[in-house]
Amino acid sequence: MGIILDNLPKIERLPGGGIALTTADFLINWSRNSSMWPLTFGLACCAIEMMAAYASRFDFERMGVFPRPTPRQADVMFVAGTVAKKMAPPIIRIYKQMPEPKFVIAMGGCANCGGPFYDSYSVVKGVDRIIPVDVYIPGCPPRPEALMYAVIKLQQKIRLMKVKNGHGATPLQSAGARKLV
Amino acid sequence: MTAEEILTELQASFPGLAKSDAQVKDYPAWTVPAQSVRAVCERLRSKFSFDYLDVITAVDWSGQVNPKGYPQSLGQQGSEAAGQPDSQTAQPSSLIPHPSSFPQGRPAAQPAGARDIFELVYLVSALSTGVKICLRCEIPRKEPAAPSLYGIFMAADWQEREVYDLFGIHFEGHPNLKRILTPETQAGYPLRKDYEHVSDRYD
Amino acid sequence: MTQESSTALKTGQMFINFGPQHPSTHGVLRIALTVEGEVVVKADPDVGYLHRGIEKLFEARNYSQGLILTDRLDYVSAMPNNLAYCLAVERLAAVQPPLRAQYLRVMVSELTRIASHLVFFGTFSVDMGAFTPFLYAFREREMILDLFEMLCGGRLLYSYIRVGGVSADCPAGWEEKCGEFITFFKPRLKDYDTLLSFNPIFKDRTANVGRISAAQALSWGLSGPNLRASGPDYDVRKAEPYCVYDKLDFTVPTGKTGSCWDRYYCRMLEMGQSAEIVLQCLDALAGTACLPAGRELPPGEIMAKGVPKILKPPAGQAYAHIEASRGDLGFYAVSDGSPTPYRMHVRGPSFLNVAILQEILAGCKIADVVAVLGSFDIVLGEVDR
Repeated sequence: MGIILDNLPKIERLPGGGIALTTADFLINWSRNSSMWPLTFGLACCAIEMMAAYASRFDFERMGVFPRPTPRQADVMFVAGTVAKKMAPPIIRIYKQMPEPKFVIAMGGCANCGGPFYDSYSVVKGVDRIIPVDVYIPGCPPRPEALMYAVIKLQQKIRLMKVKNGHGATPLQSAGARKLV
Repeated sequence: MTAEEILTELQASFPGLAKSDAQVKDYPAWTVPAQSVRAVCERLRSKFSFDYLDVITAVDWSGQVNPKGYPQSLGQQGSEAAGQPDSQTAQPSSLIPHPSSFPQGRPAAQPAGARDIFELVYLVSALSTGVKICLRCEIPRKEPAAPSLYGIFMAADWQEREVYDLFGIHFEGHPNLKRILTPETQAGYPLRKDYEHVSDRYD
Repeated sequence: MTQESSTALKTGQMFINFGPQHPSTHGVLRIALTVEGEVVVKADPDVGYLHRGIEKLFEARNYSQGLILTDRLDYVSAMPNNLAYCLAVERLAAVQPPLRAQYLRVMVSELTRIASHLVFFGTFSVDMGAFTPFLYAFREREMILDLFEMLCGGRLLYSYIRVGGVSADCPAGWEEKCGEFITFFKPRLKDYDTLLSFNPIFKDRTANVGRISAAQALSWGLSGPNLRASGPDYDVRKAEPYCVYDKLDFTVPTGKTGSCWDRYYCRMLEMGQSAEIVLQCLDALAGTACLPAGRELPPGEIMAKGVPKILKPPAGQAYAHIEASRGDLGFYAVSDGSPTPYRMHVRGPSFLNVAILQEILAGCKIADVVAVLGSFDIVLGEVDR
């Protein structure tokens, strides 16, 4: 513990040892962004790249990203693939089942805006029409590196969160950007 | 036994059976009257060891009638440019517009030979002899119905549900004919050429 | 206490929703299960959670734009989808791709088959509670993806096979890398056998589970390894050879009992055969294989001549089907002479493979549902289209 604490910013050790001072925001955000557990949840093509990110070469776990099969233990949802209209109600339900604070990464063109199915009769043109999205990744499908970059971006966002904004939300979220349909 | 021989033998009991004018490339195609589809398949299976049903699908031959509500995208622009020489590349004209800004209901030219029918297409094969036959069956677009192959080929179960879902063709005798792919909010039958998309809450 | 007292145990049927969000449905399949104790009484698969209306979208794209939609059908093995689509359109337009392109097509299809079966091997083992094989499978798969990236730039979805040929010839050094991969890969199959295939726990969970008879499999229209595990040796590569499969030497592995383990092991054996095919194709491309006189494969000759950018096939209909990684993949194409297809129907093998679940899951134990479903190796993109 001591070694880790010495390397962290914003931590002040009091002389005499045994006591370190820091802000609550820093400690909470630090623990949040170092273990982002996503939901094991794939929709379409991008899910295969998401699986590749968890597997041997990319090894997502070294970033603290470890898939959880139930939404009740997950912090972040990767919407990996096309959101069909039949799938929209389950996605909203899964999102509601996740505990706060929760984050959504829209992976790939389909989840961003419909992608190659932008004119289809049965595709939701972007998952942000049904749930709020924190990070968008372009690509069809994005490479595993892109997914990792999105997680890094999300970690940067988490570092801005403040407890006084309620539920640890970022300033924008506390202003009401979390309304559900 | 070749497809020709099977056809002559079957024609004795099914007079409506004939060779189709429109050929499916590389496979023999026959036209069958709708009411005898089931009987023909039953005979093919029991007597000529046709044990595998590849495909059931349908084609709407009414032409591109007023495709209102369905966005006309890049492909259709290509057809407007039909007079241009083939080698000319597609214009990178359009940054893809937002779906709501698509022109609604551009009247399309009726293709030659547009008819007011659905055509059901069955592909059946005998794996032991390697013969694959395409059965074609024309049914009217008004109250379209055909006998179900459920029970002869179980592969017909979901494929007929799919055709029902996307074309609205009723298969008589199917025990579980309900929508399979589209959501409950779906109105109309999407693969019909005159399908008009009704905006739902996710559009 | 008498039986009739209020505390007596009562049993009844229970309804379980399996999916659409469940780690072992491999996507967004939902199975409505009615169970009585541990035994499944009724299973009703519900599909359509990934329905994107691809068949309708084909009618709004021209033939080259339609190609990118085919990638997204069976996204775990995209190359064979491209191939089946191109074969159908080539039949419509009477285009004959050059021989070198055909060898390249066969080679990438077989490499994709290996990659796809590796994903099956990894995910099926995770379903059965073994995580380690997943890591090995994806290590090898990444090597194949590297080869594809060199070839066409894509990792997962390629659009490499085009109407009339392929989009690019092998870059310098590709053949050697591919040969190196096959030499590395072939001994790995033995590793997989020792790692998983004959593991007693794994065999107990999969052998004799979810058995399908040959007659059942044919009637339900199964294809690919799922059909061959039950006995029939129907393989489109042998039954109706397309491209250059009639010039290649390979066998079609079959199973006997049609159980989950047979379906699994058929795929394992198929990977070995695919590796052999790739080697034969590499020999042919390098010019060391015996080709008929005057049929050499000059580098760079990969596209048929005179294929216009906007293809307008004459009015007509064509059906082309191939042996994709999951079975008999067919495209039924109708042209009315315009630049867009009039109708394009996709016969997705997974669609028919899922349909049989309603019959064979009834009577299974609830823990076997995952084993049976995993052994079918379905891809929902192809089921829902």
